[in-house]
Amino acid sequence: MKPIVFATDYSDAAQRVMHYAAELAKAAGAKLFLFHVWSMPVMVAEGAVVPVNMDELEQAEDKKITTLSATVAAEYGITVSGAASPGFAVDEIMDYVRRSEAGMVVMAMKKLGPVDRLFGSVATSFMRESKVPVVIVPDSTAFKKPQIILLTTDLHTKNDWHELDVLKEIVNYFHCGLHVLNTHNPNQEANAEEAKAGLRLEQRLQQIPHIWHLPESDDIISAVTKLVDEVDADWVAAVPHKLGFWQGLVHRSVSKDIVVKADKPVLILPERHMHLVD
Amino acid sequence: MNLHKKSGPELRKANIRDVLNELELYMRPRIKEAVEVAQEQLHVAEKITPDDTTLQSVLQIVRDLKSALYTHLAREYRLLYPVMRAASNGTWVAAGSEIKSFVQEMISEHAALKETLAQLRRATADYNSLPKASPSQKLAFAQLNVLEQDLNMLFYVEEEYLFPKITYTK
Repeated sequence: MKPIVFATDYSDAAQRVMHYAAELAKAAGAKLFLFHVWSMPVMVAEGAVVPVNMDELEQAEDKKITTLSATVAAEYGITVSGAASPGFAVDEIMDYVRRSEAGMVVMAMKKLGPVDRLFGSVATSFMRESKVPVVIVPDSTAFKKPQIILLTTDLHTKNDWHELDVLKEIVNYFHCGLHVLNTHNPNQEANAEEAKAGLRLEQRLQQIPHIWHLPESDDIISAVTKLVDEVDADWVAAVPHKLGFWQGLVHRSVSKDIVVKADKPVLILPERHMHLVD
Repeated sequence: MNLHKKSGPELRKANIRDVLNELELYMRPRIKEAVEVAQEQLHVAEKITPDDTTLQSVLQIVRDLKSALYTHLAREYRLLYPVMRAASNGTWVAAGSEIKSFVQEMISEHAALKETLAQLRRATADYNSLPKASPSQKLAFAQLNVLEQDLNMLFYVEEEYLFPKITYTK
């Protein structure tokens, strides 16, 4: 499998999830790239901004990530390399993933308070922009090879579900069982466009055994969390749809809510075709 | 329109959208109600005669049937019928190729459900309760008999009337 990037901010949550990423890389036979984005500190003394030595800072950050990489490599017996870069987290991670030709990103999701939930974390911002699959792991999750994946979808798409090819590769690689969940508001009539999208999804998933779940409910998040328990899902998969400005104002991000509430690793699939397995 | 009262030739002349509406608005709720009532009454009967192994095996078959049947009905209702309705001129359905394999899958699921119904019929000795059986058991078996008839009607209407009306475009 293509290399996996683990983006870390060295928080306690990130340190715990790093072990998940290492186990995942080992199980997938992939290289692990640790990446840290740092911001330039602004030092003020007696009312004046004191210039910081950028070279020294860069060296210190490089040394820190290199040391951590060596520790993880030794502990898990996998190939690990590390890099650190200054800048804005989402942009830098995107750039690093592109340069390193990684196939997947793993990020930690710490428990969010009400304010964080309103503004979102780096992980939830990144998942909307990423061009590769992102696995967002709650910080207390112990690693377990994915055996059951629950794909949640709203069927709001006109494309041919090419983004699911990555999911198919993961399902085949790990020999997973796949469940597909789509909720339907009982007060609304079944819609022909969504039905067509459902049939195209069926076509795309041909040869991948899967079980549909089509409960009537207007509470998607409750339906997801309930089914996660019922089928004992290890991962939840979702395709976040990019919303226009006005739509974005009206609709809350369901994918983000799933990430926050599912309490399982959530695999976010980008809306583009790619391959994960070399 | 009452599907139970329609003869084959009458059914073949019926408007596709009317038949789909009939299946959705009348047949689907009726089937689900029969399953729910039968299961509820079997639970009551099981409490009255907890050692009745026949009852236990009937209840297990009903659980399996319900699980497979509800998913099947939901997939037809949510994925197949809206596409058929949108693509129908009343007499024919001109649908894309994506529907073809799905229809084949639905027919395979019918076969599996028919097999489960046959199991149910064997386990209940053709839905005949013993004279000493509890009223709940008698009611449950009667409901299962109705369920079998309704499901056979649903399968017949779909396989002999609806699905052959689909022409597959590229």
